[in-house]
Amino acid sequence: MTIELDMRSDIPIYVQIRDQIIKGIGAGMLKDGDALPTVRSLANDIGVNPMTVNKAYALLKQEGVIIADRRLGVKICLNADATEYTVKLKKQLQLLISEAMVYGIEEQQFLDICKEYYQMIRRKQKEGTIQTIPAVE
Amino acid sequence: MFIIIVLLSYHLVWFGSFFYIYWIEAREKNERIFSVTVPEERKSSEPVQQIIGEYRKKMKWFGVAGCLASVCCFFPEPYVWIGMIVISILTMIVPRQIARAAQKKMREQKKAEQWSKIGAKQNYQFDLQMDWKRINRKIPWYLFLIPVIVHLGVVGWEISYYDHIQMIGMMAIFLIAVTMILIFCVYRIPNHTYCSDHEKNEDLNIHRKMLWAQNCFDMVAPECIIIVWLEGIDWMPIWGFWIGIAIHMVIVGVVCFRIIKRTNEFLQIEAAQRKAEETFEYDEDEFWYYGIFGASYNNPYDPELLKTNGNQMGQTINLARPIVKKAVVLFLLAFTLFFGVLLVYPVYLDQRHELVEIALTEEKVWIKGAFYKKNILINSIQTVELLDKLMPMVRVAGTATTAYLSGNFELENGERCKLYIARKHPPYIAVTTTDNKKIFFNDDEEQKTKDCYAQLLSRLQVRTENEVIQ
Repeated sequence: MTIELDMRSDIPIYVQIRDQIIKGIGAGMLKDGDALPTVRSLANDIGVNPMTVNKAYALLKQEGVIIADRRLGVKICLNADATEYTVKLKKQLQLLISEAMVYGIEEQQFLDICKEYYQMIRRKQKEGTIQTIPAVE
Repeated sequence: MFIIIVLLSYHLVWFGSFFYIYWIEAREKNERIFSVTVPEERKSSEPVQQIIGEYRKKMKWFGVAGCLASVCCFFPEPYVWIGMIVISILTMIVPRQIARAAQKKMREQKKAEQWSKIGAKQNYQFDLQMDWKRINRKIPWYLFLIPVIVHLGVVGWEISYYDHIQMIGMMAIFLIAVTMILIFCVYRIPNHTYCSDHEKNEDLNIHRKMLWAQNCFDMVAPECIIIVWLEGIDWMPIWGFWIGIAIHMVIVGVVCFRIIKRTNEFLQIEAAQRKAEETFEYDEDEFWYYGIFGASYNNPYDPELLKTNGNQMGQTINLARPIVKKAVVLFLLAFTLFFGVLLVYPVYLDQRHELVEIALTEEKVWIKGAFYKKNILINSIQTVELLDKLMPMVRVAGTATTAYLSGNFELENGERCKLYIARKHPPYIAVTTTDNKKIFFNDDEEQKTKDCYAQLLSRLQVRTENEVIQ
């Protein structure tokens, strides 16, 4: 699985790495038990400080998406707490919905867009056609 | 005459190399012309051909000027040195300016016609399944132990034989440092994601890393032979020395040929990969510029350490990578330390009258210098003279600095001799041994040299009288 990073973006690299891995899991490219490269290895390949990759992995570990073992390395371990995530989701949705309202998006239109993306990711997950997680669809 | 030949050869190589590097920037078969990606169908267009034509015309004039400038090799001193320095600097600057002007015009053309690289991606792609350590494990790093062990062996031998490290031992230590730096750089070459196929990515990366490990090995390993040969120079006949020089030149030629051949083979594999598969491409034209030595690449957003030159001349380094800066600093440090010790340390010793010390024992004359310790058996000395001035001679295999001379030299009559002298402190003692070897030495203190000479002369006279009596 390949990820795409925009080095010139205002979005920090560690956030991009974290987002790309989450998208990869969502798209079915990364499954429970899959190994991720070590901090040093990924940092060397991306050309960033190991602390940056460490931050991304720390974030994912905190979210319960990966485990990091000194001997076994970094692996996907979907152990996320849905309750905690639901609180976070509600907060993010509140902002998204408010923004949609500002731009005149109606409720049904908003729900249709959400459904469309959900189905697209599910479809790609089943087909297994996606190899690269793009930054933006 | 010899100096003129050397200068002409230097001018040919220096000027010729720069001319060739910049001349091929305008080749139409290049991936990039003047480091700008030009679509195939636009290469034969009038504006592009005009830019190429103007560039070639200027380069031809530069070539003519370079050939005419070679006459400065025949100038008398010091004008010849001034001329060579000025020509060397102009050779670096002039074609660079011509290439920059052409690059600027080509970029303007690109902007006007909105050329774009087909399939170029905006953002860099990274294969998460590639692991740097797994790929590094495929490289036979243990082979680098061979040159390191040989160099350590030379240092150890010098310590055991001479009680301290000599010049060649210091060169061996310097080469060990260079080997370590090269291993560090190759180890840290980042993996490149060519396409979405993980196995292809891994194969190509292993191949690429192996290429660079082999190239670095080819650069450091033959130095072992040279170091061992240099160590044995004192015991070698004259023909052995010249055979060594010839072998060295053959080794350099073979190494260069292997590196170029291997690199070109890999570049062809990479190019085939680009054509055959959906390879990730990026438009990086804005990060290419003309530096001191031709096209250079400086892209802080690109994690790549090595970048293929658009003119198919191998690979260049991404100067924006921190590791490159670290490697350059390390090299400069190693270089400065080596030459600092070589050149500055003897001057420091000279100030303290510790540059060359001679001592007489019952059986031997000991000569201790900054990087050597030699002895001459008194019984082997046939004649001894005290000279106020050294006769003209040429360095063959040794060191000649402003402070001292040491090693093998050749006199005007073709006779080989050994020198261990503090240059600025005459007189000098010249001895001829029973096997017709001439050795010149002195102490950096004039009185000690004279005392040593007096003692040697009296011992020689006593020995001669004893022989006559017998």
